[in-house]
Amino acid sequence: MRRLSMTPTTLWRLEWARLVRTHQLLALGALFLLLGLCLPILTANLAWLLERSPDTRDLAATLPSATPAEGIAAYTAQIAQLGLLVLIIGAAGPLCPYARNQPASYVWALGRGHRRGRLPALAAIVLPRFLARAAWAVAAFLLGLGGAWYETAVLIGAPDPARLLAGALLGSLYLVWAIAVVAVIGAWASSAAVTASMAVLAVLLTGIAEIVPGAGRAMPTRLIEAPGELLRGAELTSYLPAAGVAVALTAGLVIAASALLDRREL
Amino acid sequence: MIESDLSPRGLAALAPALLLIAVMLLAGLLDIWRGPRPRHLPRAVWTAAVLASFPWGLLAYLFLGRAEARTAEPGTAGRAGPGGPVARTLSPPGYAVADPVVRTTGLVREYGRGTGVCGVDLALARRGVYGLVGPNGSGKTTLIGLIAGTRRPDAGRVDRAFSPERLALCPDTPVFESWLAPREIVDLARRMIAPHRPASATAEVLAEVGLTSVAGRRVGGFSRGMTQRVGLAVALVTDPELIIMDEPAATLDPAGRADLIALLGRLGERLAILLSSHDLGQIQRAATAVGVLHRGRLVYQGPTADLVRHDPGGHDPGGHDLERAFLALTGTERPVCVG
Repeated sequence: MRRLSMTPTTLWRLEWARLVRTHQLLALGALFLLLGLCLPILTANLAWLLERSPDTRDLAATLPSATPAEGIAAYTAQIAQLGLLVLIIGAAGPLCPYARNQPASYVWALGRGHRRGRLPALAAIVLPRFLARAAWAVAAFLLGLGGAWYETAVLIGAPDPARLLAGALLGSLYLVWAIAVVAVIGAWASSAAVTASMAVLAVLLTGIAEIVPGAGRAMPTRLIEAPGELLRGAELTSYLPAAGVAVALTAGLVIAASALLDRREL
Repeated sequence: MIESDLSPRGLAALAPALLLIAVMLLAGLLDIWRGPRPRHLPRAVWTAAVLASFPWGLLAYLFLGRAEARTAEPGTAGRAGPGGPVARTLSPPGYAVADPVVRTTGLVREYGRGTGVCGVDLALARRGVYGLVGPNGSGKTTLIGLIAGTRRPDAGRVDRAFSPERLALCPDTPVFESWLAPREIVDLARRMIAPHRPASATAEVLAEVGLTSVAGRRVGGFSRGMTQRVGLAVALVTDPELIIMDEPAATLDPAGRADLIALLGRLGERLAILLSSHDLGQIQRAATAVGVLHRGRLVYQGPTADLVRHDPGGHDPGGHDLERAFLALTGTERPVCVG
């Protein structure tokens, strides 16, 4: 018999067990760490790579020396694309509890057992699953950022720690907001695939909305650029509108997801 | 720079990345070849995908290809088998409408185009198995949802003689997290819904449904019948007054059905069970009372024996067979539940 790690005695431990036993905890951490370790290496050696690439070896290009900001920005740019995609796909299943192949009725049955009567979806489903996924995303992001900091410091130069920490916080807000988007779509949708597709679309559209004059600087999608941009000298205050909107939207989306789930019929 | 700079600084930069890549590849390949057979593609193809498109192939394998090990059906030892309790005949306690555990009054839920339920007055005794039968689309699942509280009625009311947590609903195909073991699933249900029950209740209900020998295995490899039994164990551990089962035998083999009927017979002696089924033979063997739902209306309810003996329309159907009585009831045109 295989040994099962972490007995799920509460809904919170159930979510922890979900991350551990499905190997998603390790897989995402490994992927983000891989990106964090490799992308600064590529950035630091871009000129060397261009000289040896069959497509570009005949071009005469002079590149400025890489800066620490570029090493970190290369990592966050990939997190904004590939990292986000993996996060959304991984979160779509648990955050779409009424999907056909999801154990919704089991969760519903567990939720009913609350002493005050039926446990609201907020406590039974949304909060444990959302917070577990959000923590999972932030932990993986910070792990990868740690790797990017290490490689950048070794190959290019040490980034300013205070600005990097501020950027890490803002980037984390972005990922938590993205998970909240998955939660509200998952509460409405009837399959994990639909949830993932629509969540990706919603985040992409928000990114496109950055071009809207005035409103663009308040879009949460800006926050993922913050680690690199702050190291380039951008003002922290320029990200505060986006951070405020991200926090407010996250809270609103979680409440909306709970309300949607409470209204759904099995 | 890389070529000419394999200095300690270059090695310090490359070593962590290369080490991580090696560990990820090794872990993925070990899982493919030493774990259960992957889904969708052969092991060799998954291996090629992982090696050729790292890390995307590895991610695809994790999300799409990884499978749980299959678990064989537990042996008959310790299982609720037909040898003992199966042969026991239920003692119909009579249809105690006077003191029902659930009573519905004028229950209406419409979905348009004549589907749903219409004006259902149903009463369940405190003990025994109540069989709810009806053709496809007659409204059985809707009625079950209304009684369980998972759907809201358009009109009418449901009166339950117990608190909401004393009702357990077993869907037709229960789904559980594939990486949990039955012992964990049942124990979590006990902690959440019936914390007053002792920890030993988990083992007791697992034994009652015949899952003791696989209580520590992951349910991802279980057959449908075994998963159905896990669902029943979850229901039982919550100390219910009423268990509602929607088509519980639809996916079971004949032996599994016999087991289930035996188990329901035993359970019906101490609590109320509402059993929805297409299988009239199963209802005839298991149910002490029966309700026939036809086009959204409850066209008969009463003791099963009475329905079998007599055609409700006043004609002897010519034999003691629930199917004939059922056809006599549902073969005639009844008002469709519209408007």
